[in-house]
This record gives sequence, structure tokens and C-alpha cells, in this order.
Amino acid sequence: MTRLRLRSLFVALVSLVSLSQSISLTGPRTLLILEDDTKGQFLTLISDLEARGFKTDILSAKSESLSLFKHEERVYDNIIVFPTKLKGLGPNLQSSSFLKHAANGGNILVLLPSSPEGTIPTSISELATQVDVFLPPKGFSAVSHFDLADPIEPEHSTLVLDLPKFPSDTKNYFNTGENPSAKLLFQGPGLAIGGSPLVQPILTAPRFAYSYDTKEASANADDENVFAAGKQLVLVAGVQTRHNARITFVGGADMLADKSFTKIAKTNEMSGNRAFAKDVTAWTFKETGVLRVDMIEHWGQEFGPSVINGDIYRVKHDVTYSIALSEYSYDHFHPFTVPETDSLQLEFTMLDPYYRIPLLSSSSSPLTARKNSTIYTTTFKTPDQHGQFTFIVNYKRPFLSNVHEKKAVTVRHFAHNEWTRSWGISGSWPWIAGIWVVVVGWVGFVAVWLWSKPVVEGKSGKKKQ
Amino acid sequence: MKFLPSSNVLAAGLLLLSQWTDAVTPSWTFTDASLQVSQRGAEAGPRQKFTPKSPISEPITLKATDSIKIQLTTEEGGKPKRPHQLFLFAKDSQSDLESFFVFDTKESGKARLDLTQKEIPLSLLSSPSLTLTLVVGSFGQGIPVSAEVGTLKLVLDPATKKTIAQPALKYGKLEEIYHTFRAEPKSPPAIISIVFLGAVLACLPALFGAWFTLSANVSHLPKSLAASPIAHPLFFASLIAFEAVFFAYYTKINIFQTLIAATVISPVAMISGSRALREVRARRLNGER
Repeated sequence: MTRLRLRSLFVALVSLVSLSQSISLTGPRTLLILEDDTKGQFLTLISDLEARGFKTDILSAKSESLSLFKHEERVYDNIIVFPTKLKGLGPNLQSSSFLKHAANGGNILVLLPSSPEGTIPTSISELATQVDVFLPPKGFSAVSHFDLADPIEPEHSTLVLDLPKFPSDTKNYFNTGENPSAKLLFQGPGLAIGGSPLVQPILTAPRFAYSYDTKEASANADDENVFAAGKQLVLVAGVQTRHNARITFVGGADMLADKSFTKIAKTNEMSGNRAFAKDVTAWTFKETGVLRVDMIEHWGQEFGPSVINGDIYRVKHDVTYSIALSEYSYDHFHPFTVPETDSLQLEFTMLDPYYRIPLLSSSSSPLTARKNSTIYTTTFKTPDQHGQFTFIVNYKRPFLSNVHEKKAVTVRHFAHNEWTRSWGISGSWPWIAGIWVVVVGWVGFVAVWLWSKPVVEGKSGKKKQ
Repeated sequence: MKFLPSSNVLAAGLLLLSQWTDAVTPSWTFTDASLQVSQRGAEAGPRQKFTPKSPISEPITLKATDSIKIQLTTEEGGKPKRPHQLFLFAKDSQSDLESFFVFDTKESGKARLDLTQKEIPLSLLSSPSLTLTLVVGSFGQGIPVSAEVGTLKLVLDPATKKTIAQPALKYGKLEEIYHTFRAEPKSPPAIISIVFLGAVLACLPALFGAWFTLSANVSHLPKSLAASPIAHPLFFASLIAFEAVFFAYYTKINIFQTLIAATVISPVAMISGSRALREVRARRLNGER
């Protein structure tokens, strides 16, 4: 008996411990495709990941036991592809395997080699092309002659950057470090991205930086040997697939390597790289930027809040719609707040939206109060058009997981007894009066017909008599 | 006191050093810079000169058939030299989009760039004006330079305007939409309805008046009541009951209740009616009608 009790206590303790560790929403199983000779460069990154609860599995691309799928199930939740000298990653790590991993909800972080001598495996560049990311060929390097990290360095290939900034309607998950003015060190070829809304630049190059072919254009960067320049040269790009798997490309692995987690000679301050590495891995592995819909409630004027999420509404009646959203942050969900310049919008649609109106946060829903989510709510009058309408909340924003909630409801016409009665319409008064004049006239006519005494008849009667 | 001179010496030394490095650190610049707009099939326009400090003040207009030629010589520390980077950046002042064009540079530092509308990316074509910035930079100690050249105004062909695609889909909030309701049905002014209501109601006294002037009357009522005391009141009451049911149907009850009421009243009306009409016939046969 006591042993059993002890055992259950132990189980409870273990589950408590595993709960207290922060955990990616996808899962902790992380594959690091890492060769032994490069392992030494990324010790801090790996130990930081393990401290956050990721279960790392370091395997060489050449390893025979390496497989991303077992019985058609994902073996790993997250994959980090470190730079390698191999030109091909082998049959288990084709671009199709990576895509299948992402299609099954797994996340991928790709670190491209920083040095111009580094090779990018074919499957990685194929994977990039398929998600609208374009990698430069071998031998390219990003340089900036302005604002040098180290005035003595002859190559000018170490870029010093500010932490990422985004427009005010975009949440910034990449400057959560302690020092918001910390600078980032970058070294690598960079990359370019296409116009797809699924691909977002996380970090772009300084205005006058450019990526050029170090072999072909060592003397002068001519038109054919420049890959990209300025803000078009993206250093870190994040892809979020339509079902929220994330693939991040870092255009220079050294950014997350131990050697960048140091003091910057120019400013004599610690670089922000370590915090940035945490932010990038946290976003990629879904520790941040994941939204959850906790509740949806809608009710109409006809039945009031006593009938929640009913299927039928009437035209020209007030309808109230509320949605509760929370956001994941490392180990817990907390209320999600929409950036001030952004807007969470509700559409009321039949083929085309009849309404697209902002949902505003209310401290508590008229119906249910929620502790860990923000409730956004709005009230509007259903259009004077009956039919099958749909409530749609389509909230897709950079770096946030997609929210696409649909609910089809019927909007019925007025029932026959809901119209204004005819006497309420002043134009109908003469017509109604006409009917009753006829009725009274007819009743009078019947009475006269039944009981009238002929007046002329008197004389003729007398004649008859 | 002892430390003061030495620190002075140190400061002086530093100052000297910095002056020395200033003298040694060459900076990049460009000379003989000119921009020329030429139209196809016409003489080239005038050369507009610019320097790192003085950009071309007037906006440069570029039509679909025009081409721009920029020529300059780059120098490092006063000597003509070929830099590694000689780009012209074109920035859309509204969207902050920026594209770049690479100069064709010779060993001697002489550089040239030809620019036509075709080379400008579609996303920049719709911009009202582009700010041109020239960037000269290279490896080594030379201080790079970025200088504004001027602003570029694009005059587009109608054909080119069509090809400018819709901006790529971007996730973000969309324009708000509010439903416009149809106008409520309207009645004519109430006074008109009231006037016509009065006219209609006036018909009733007019009708009865006309009948009585034609000597209609109900003088036989006591006689018929005496002849058939049940049938006559019942028949007349059932007719009024019918009208009352219709009124109730108009205001309150539904069709089923109406039908039930009608089925109750109908036999009463039929039987009492036939009796009452029999009495009326008797009067007619008596010659009293």
C-alpha cells in the first residue's frame, strides 16, 4: 500500500518536472544533422536548446540509422540542418523528405555555411526553391563597406546589424533579448526571397551591403556577379506553411555559432546573437507566435444570449460575435493582444463579404470570462438579405500561426407575423376603411332587404284590396 | 602633478596619431560625374553635372523611349582607382522599396551606367518618384561614400501601366466593409391618407342617405319578429358573427381558428336563414313587399 502510494507520488513528481520545462508545441524531439568536425562550433546553441527542454539527437548525414519517418510517422518534431562539407545528404534526406516532414507538421531550421568555401547540399537548395527562397551558388559572400564590425578585417564580410525591426502592425518575436540596442554579428552569403506571403524576411542586410561572388568578382563587383544588395539581401528568412509548419533559413550559420556570442570589438558590448539564436529557434520550433482559438460564441437578438451558437438568425437583427484568442509563449498560453495598428476582423459573407468589421477586445465577454485569453467581440445588424451566411475570422499575419475560423449560419427572412401590420402603414388607411365601409353597407343592405316595407305598395295594395 | 605632463604627452601623441591616420586613410569619391538623358531617334540631351555634395536639383524625367547615361570617374585619396562596389540605388520614397544597378567600371576608374525603363523592376515603376543614390566602396581602409544623385520621375506608357501587376498578396488587415441597407418603404404624407380616409368613410352615410331618400326602411321588423321570433334574429346575428370572425382573423386568430368558427356559424346561418327567408316569401306572397 505504502509502496503504491510512493509510486504514484513519484509519477506525479515526474509529470510536474516535465511540465515545468518549456516545450515546443510541435514536440521536443529534435534532430541535429551535424558532422563531428563542426559540432564544436555550436555547443552553446545546442546546450541552450537542451536547457529549454528539447531532446536532441545528433546524427551525421551519413549515418545509416538516420530516417525522418518510421511507419509513416514523423520520427522528429524539429530538424536543424547544420553546414556540412557533403554535396549530397544521402537518400534519407532528400528535399522531398524534408517537405514531407514539414507537411506532417514538423519544423526545420536550415543553417547555411558562412564561409564562401562552404557547400550547400542539393537537397537543401531544392527545398529552398520549393518554398520560394533562393540561395546563392557556392562562393558568394555578403559584404558591407559601410559601418565595419572590425576596421582591420580586410574582407569586410562581418556585418554588424541592429536587431530586426518590423512595421508596427507586425509582432516582433526577434528582439526579446535583455538589451534591445544590442548589435548582431553576421557572416555568410545571405539569400533572397520570392513574393509569397508565406515567406517573411526576419533579418535583412544593411542598406548598402551586397552579396558577391568571391571567386569571379574579387576585383570589381560587376553586374553578373552580384547576387543581391541592400534590403533585398535577406539574411534570415522564415517560412510558415499553410498548416503552420515552420522552415527557417539562416543565411550564415556563424550567426548562431559560439564565436558570435562574444563582445563586439567596435562597441565593446556583448553581441545580441545568443538571444537572437534563442528567438529564431523558439519561433521556428513553435515556442512563440502560435495562436489558439479558445472559444467562439455568437448569438442573435431573437433569442438573446440564451441560445449560443445557434444556426439561424433573422435579417435586420443584431448579432453579437465573440472569439477568444491566446498565444503560446515557451511554456504557457497567455492572452493574445492584436498590435494597435493591426486589426482582427470578422467577415459576414455570402459569396462576398457583406461585413468586414474589426473585433475589439473586451475585458470580459458578455457571456463567459476567460482567464488566459483575450476576448474579441463585435455586434452588427444582419443584412437585409436572407440566405446562407458564414462568419469568418481569417487572421493571417507574418510570424503568427494562421487563424481561419468559419461557421455557416442561416439568415432567414421576416416571418409573416413579423411585418408591420397594415394599420401601421398610413398609406393603407383609405383601403382598410373601404373594406369596412363595404361590410357595414352590406349588412345594412341585408337588413333593408329583409325588413323594408314597400311605400308605393300602399296604394297598389289598396287597389288590390 | 607628476602625471599631468605625461598624460598631456599622451593626449598630444593620440592627437598626432589620429591626424596621421586621417592623412593616411584615404576616402573614396568620384569626379567628372554627369548624367545625360537621351531619347531614341533624337539628339542626346544636355549633360547634367553632379558631385558628391551637390546632386542634380531638378527631377530627372525618364520616358519609356528614353535612356539615361551616367558617367563618372572614381577616385581613392585623389587618385583614379577602380572600387569593388559602384552601385546606383533607386529608392521608392513611399514604399521604401529599393533596387540597385551596377556600373560598368574600368581599371582606370572610369565608369558608366545605362538605364532604361525596362531595367527598373515592376514594383518600382508605379512609384511617383525614385531617389537615386550612388555608392562607392571597396575593401581596405578607404572610407566609402554614398551620395544622392537626384530624383527620377517616370513617365509611363499606357501599355506599361497595364502590365504593372497588382501588388503581391500581403498578409495584413483589409479594408472594412459595412452593409448598405435598402431604403425603408415609405408612405405618402399622413394628411393625404386622412383626407382620402374621410372621403371613403363619407361614402357610408351617403349610401344610407340615398337608400332612405328612396324610401328604404325597416318597418316590417316587428312583423317578421312576430312571425318568426327565432329565425330572424339568429340569421341576422350569424351574418354579423361572420363579419366579427373576419375581423378577428384580421387582427388575432389564425386560419384554422377561423375555419372552426365558420363551421360553427354556417349551419346556424343556413337553417335560420332558410326559415327567415321563408317568412320573407310569405310576406311577398301576401303582397307585402
